[in-house]
Amino acid sequence: MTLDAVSADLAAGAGAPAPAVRLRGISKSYRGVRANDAIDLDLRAGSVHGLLGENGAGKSTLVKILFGLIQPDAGTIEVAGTLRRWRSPRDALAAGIGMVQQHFSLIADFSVAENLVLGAEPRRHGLLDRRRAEREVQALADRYGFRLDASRRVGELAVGARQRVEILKALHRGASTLILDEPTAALAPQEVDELFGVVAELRAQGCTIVLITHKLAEIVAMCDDVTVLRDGAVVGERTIAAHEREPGSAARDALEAELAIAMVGRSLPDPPSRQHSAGVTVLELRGVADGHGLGPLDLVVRSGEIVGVAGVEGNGQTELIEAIVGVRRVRAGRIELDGTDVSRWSVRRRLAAGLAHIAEDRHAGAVALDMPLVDNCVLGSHDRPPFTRQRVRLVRREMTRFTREVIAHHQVRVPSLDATVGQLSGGNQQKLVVGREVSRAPRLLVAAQPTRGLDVGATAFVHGELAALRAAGCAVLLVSLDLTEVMALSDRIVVMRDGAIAGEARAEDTDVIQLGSWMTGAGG
Amino acid sequence: MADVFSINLVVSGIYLSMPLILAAFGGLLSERSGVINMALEGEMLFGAFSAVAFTWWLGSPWLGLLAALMTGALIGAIHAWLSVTLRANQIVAATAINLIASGLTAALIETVWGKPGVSPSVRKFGIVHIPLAGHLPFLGRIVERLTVLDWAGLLLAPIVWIVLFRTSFGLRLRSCGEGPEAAASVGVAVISVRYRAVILSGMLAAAGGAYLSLAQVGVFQRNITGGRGYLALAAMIFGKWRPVPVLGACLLFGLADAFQFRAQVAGVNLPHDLLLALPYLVALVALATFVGRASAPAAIGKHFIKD
Ligand SMILES: Nc1ncnc2c1ncn2[C@@H]1O[C@H](COP(=O)(O)OP(=O)(O)OP(=O)(O)O)[C@@H](O)[C@H]1O
Ligand SMILES: [Mg+2]
Repeated sequence: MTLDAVSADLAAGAGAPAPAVRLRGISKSYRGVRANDAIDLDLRAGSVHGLLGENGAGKSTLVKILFGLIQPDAGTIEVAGTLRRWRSPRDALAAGIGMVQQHFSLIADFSVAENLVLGAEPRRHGLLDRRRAEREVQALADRYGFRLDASRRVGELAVGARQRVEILKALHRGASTLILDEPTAALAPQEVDELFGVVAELRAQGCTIVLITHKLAEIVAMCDDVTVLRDGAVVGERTIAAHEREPGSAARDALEAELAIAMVGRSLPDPPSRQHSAGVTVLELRGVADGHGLGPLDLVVRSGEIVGVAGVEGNGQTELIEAIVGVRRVRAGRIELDGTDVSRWSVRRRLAAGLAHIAEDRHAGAVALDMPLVDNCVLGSHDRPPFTRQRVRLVRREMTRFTREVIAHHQVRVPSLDATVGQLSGGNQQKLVVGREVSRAPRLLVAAQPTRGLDVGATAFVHGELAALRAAGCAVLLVSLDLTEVMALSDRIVVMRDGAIAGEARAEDTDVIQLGSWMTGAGG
Repeated sequence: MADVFSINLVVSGIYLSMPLILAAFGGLLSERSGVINMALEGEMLFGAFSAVAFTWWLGSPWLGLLAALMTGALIGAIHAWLSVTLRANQIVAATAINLIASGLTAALIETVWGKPGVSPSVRKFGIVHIPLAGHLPFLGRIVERLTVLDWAGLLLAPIVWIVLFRTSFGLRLRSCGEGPEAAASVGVAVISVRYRAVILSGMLAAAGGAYLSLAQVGVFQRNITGGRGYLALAAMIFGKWRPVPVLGACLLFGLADAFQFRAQVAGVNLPHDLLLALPYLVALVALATFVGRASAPAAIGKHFIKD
């Protein structure tokens, strides 16, 4: 079935039960950008509905409208056959619609139970009945098969567990339709599996789910229906049949290709090919340790080579990056950049010596959300020519020119040049950061989760950028939780476990099984 | 020198820490709700002044204390209006209150009593005798000399602890200090909770001031607080915004103060000014050496905009 045929089918509504939610003609513009353009969407009760689309296609805008976080310029929302209008998310929740946002809204200092009962606390003799709160919350978690301890402090939980708390919070407040906006972007592969277990269980218990993700494989594996958005409009929708889920089947490959083309409007470039011309050593770590969890550890990255760092999240990757970039103090060993020991150097000096860094968490480590694009775009080179003359005077003209270049070359979608970074969609923020760092023509690029939150087209683009840097003789250290990404791009792969290197191999001499056993320390 | 370290040192340490305890717990309530309370000093001064003025007019320290509490509530309400409703910079708003308190109470001494600098003596709080308390070893000598306010102060730590951690009001109050947006999204009235916390805070700080003037000296004299509001703030931070450690910090600073007094009396050979500064030095060293990170409420000082 083609997308068009299915749309016709859905429009006819052939004998299907009334949708749980029906959106009609939803439009929303931001200063000339049509984020949503007359979108129609039906969510079947008890189904998982995927939303696909490039960065900035309008997915988050649409679900925020559905959840009452923003008001549409036009269009209607119907829940269970009744026309509704939200003034705030609280109205949406009262009608059974809940959402887990890209940024969580939990109180880190509170326990799981406290987070859930806040606003409607059980009381006994005028005091908070904590035991009852914990019992009720635990019962709810158990009912949906969530692995959670209701008495734990949320701040101590891993990202995946926090997400389960968010979901539980929505359920606790009566949500039966649940929106998940890029729930997998920040998760390690095992956590993704666990999340999808949760989603399957919720569906089995009758919940309706909206799932936004950039990973086609996740859409195909999880969704009953999928809607593709491009430039704020629906460009395709279809149901996914069981036989199309078979991993490795021709039907599945065809479906993924079809979705990708619908999304991007063209087919994707082939993954960059590897080359074997590693040159001189650019980065060398010898016996580096931070006196806490990291090291001692040796690592070499040569020019013209991409070294991939794989590992389960929290096995020292973050600390390794911090040590190389210069925000973590190293207690032992040497970090050499082009033969010079830089382990005592400031970040600024390292940047000046040719280091570039795509930060793992862009909000914490790469951009200032409330600052304009132009200022963000020169951060890190702002104190050097051509952006600064006579060591103090900022040259705005140069800054603007450079920003235009980055935006054009990396296809960053921006509402206007004087927008702040916070006004860009998540994926476009990431593209801006990647563009900025790559444009420095660095000697060494430390790329941490460089494609987090990027659509398939942009991911392919960034992969191409990294390969081009390699071809230009740059040394690239790629740190990623996505094993597929590491395997597709790297010349050499090192696996980290417990802050040290558990294994190392040339990319063509290894496979998922060996890497996996190094990652978990099983057998191998 | 032996006399410096005696049971009396402990007794007077407790006395001297009492105003700190009252004010620090006030600060704790306010800051746990997300509003920085630098105004403790000013609120203490206002409390100390009204306590003496109304005791002098009405002849009863009870009515004086009541007046102090009401003044504290009023100043707290103004503070909340500035910091929560008008969303003024909380440090600047509080500094304004402190400056006004210092100037206004000094000026009012002359207006009310006709001579500058110090009020006439008024009736102090009586000592509450607990039968047979004198026979308790060690504790007896402390217990038999406690005033009503002492009892209130000592009971404050457990009460505040229960309110903060065992009532739903406390849960909501803390949620406003840790994640006001998250709290508002589940229906917590952030603005109203912060108002109540800041007003309570003003009342407790004023009670601390009343303790200074009514229970300890029985007069009001200009700037009688001498920075104790700031010391209370330091104790609250040193105690990491947690009731029991805050109580401990107040007692520590109180002991340092008591030690300094006794050392002076005993003629210890140290410059007078240095001795006077001892509690503040202890506070400084305590803050510089022991404070860990990330113990302040996450949303402290952040304005909340209701949409
Ligand atoms: N507050 C805002 N001000 C101006 N423009 C905005 C604002 N929010 C979104 N936009 C614009 O609307 C468009 C759609 O953004 P949206 O966040 O919905 O995209 P998305 O599909 O979720 O993308 P991503 O996959 O990158 O998260 C983008 O071009 C974005 O720049
Ligand atoms: Mg989005």
